[in-house]
Amino acid sequence: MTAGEVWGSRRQLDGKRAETAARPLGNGLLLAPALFLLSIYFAAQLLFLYQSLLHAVPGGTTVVGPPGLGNYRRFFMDSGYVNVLIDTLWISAELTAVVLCLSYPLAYLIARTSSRALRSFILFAIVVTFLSGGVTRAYAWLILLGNRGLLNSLMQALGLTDEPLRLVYNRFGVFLSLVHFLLPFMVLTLVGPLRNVPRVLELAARDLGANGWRTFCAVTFPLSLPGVINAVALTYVVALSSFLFPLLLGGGRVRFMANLIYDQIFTAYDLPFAAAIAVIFLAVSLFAIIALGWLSRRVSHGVHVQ
Amino acid sequence: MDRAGLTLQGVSKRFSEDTVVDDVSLVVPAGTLLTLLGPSGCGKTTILRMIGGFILPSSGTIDLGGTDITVLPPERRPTAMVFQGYALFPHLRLRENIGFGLRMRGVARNIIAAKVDEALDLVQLGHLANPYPHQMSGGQQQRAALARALVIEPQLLLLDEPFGALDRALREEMQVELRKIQQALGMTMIFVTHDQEEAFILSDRIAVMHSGRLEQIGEPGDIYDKPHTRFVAAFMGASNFLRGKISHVDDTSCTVTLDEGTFINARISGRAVGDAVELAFRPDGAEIGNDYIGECAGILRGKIVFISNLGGKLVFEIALPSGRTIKVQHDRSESDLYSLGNHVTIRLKPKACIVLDPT
Repeated sequence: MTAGEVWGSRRQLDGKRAETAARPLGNGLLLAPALFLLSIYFAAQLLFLYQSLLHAVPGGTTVVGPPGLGNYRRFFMDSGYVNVLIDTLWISAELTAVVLCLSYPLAYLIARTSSRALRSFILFAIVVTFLSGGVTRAYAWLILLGNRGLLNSLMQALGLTDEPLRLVYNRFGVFLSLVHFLLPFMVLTLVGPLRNVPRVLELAARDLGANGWRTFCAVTFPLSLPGVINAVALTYVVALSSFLFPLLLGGGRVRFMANLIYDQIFTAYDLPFAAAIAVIFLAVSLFAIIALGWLSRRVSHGVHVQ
Repeated sequence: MDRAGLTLQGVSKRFSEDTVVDDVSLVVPAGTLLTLLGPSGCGKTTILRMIGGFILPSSGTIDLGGTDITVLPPERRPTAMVFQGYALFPHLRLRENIGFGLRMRGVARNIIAAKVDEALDLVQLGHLANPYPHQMSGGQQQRAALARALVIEPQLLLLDEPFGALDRALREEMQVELRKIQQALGMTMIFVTHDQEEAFILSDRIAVMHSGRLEQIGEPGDIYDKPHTRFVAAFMGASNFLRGKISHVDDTSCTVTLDEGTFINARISGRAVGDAVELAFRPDGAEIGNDYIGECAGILRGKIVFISNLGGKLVFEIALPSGRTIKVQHDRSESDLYSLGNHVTIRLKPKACIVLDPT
C-alpha cells in the first residue's frame, strides 16, 4: 500500500527508461483479474454506503428510506460511540509504539546476526506465532493469565500474592495479547528494510570515527526509516481492525470499532447504523494511512539505497 | 623520517579451516604508497580490512606510527578507507558526507565547513552545489569518497580498488590525480588492486600477493624486471615459459640450455651447472624473423597457429616442435610476411629473459 509511495521518487527518475522498455503484455491485460475482484468489492462498498443513509425498522431486519445523514449524526452526538473511535485510534497507536520498540531490535538481530542458527530460531518462533490461529492464541492467553491460570497459580504458590491478579478481561489482557499478535507483522516487515541497509555504510561510519551507537543513530536508523514507517503503517492498520482479542479477552470492557460494528449487526440488528460506523471508520483509517504515506515520502527523500 | 609508517608482523587470518592471509610481514615507510597487487581471492582486501580494523587478525601484530593498533576498533584508528563502490551515505548530501568524520570527532561547525571546502577543492568538486550521492556521476562519487577520507587527515589512507567501477579514461585520470595528491600531502597510503598497470602508475612499492601469501615486495621496476617466482612473472605479463638446464657459469652470467635445443646467456648469479630452471619472457621479449641463419644463440623455430590483433601490434601464437606454444609480439606494419600456418624463426632477447626456479 505505501511501499509504492515510498519509492515513488526513485521510480520517477527511472520512469522514462521503464516506459520504453519491452512490454510483454498490455497493461490492461495484466490488471484485469485484480480489477475484476476490486470492482466487485467496491460495488459492495457502494451498496454499504447507500445503506448507511437509511434507517432500520425497529424489531426487524428490513431497512427503509428516505436517505439521510441521521446515522452519522447519531454517531457523533453520542460520546460513547465517539470514545470507542478515539480509544481505537489511541490504543492502536500505543500498541504500534510498543510493538515497534520490541520488534526493531529483533528484526535487526535477524538481519545482522552471523549465526544462521539464531536467525532460523527467531524466524521460526515468529512464523509459528504468525500462523497459529487467533482463537487458539486467545485461549492460550486465558490459560496463562486467567484467575486460575498458570501465572496466578505460580505466584500464589510462591506466596507473592494472596488474591489472583486480574490479568484478563481488562485492558491489560487485550493489550498484551494484541502486542503478541502484532509483533510478527512488524518484525517481518522490518527485516527487509534493515537487510537493505548496506553493511559497508556502517563500516564506513565506524572508519570515520563513529562508535557502534553513533553509527546506528547516524546511518542505520535513518536509512531504515522509510521501511520503519511502512511497517508502522501496516501494523497500525492491523491494530485498528482488532476484533477477536478484544471480543474474547476484553470481557465486554474493551471494545474496538470492529466490536462496535459487530454489536450493531448481531445484537441491535441495526444494519444501517453499523454501515455508517464502518464508513466513518474507513474514512478515519484511510486518513491515517495517507498521513503515514506522506510522512514516509518525506523521510525517504534522498535515500537511494541500491 | 619524522613519522613512522606501518608495520605488519606475521599477520595471518584464518576463517575456520581456511587460511585467507598467511604470515604476511611488510613495512610501509611513512609518506609512501604501497600497492597490494594480486588476483581476486589472494587476501589483499582482507589485509586492508585488518589494517582498517574491520577484521581481527588470527595472529600477528599491526603497528602504525609506533603504536600497536592490532585490536583497536576502527573508530579509534588513525586510518581512513576509501571503499570499493564508494560507500557514500545515500541519505546525506555531499557536504554532510564529507564532513561526517569531522562531525563524529566533535569538530566545531565552522571549522568543518572550512575543511570540507578545502577537501572539495582538493578533489576538484568545489564547483558542485550540494547534491545527494545518487545525483552525482560515478567519477564525482569517487572523488567525494576520496575527499571524505582525506578530510579527517588520516595517518594512513586505505584504498580498496577504488577505481574499479570507472571507465578506462576516467580511471587513468584518477590514478594520476591520486598520485599527485599523495605526493603533495606526503600521505602514507595502501592501495589494493588486481590491475598491474594501475599498480605501476601509483606505487612507490608493490607487494604481489598470491593465495594469502606475500609473493614479492619491491619497487615497481624491480618487480617488473626481476620477478622471483613464476606467479609474479606471469602476473607481470610474462606469458612464455620454457624449461632448461644451466650448462655453463661464469662471474656475471650463465648459459641456459633449453629443452628445445637452443641456448641463451642470461645475466644471473647464484646458479650451478646442472640446475634445472625455467626461462620466462614476455611477448615482446622475442623477435620473429627469417634472417637469423648463422646465429645460434636463442633461436627457436615454430609454426604460427593463431594471430591476435592488438591494434598497432600483432601477437603470434607459435607452436614449437617440443609441443609448447609461445606468444611473440610484432609490429603490425612489418608483419606482412607472416601469416597463419607459416614456419618462422624466433630469436630470444637475452636481456628480456628471466630465469626462475622450475615449478
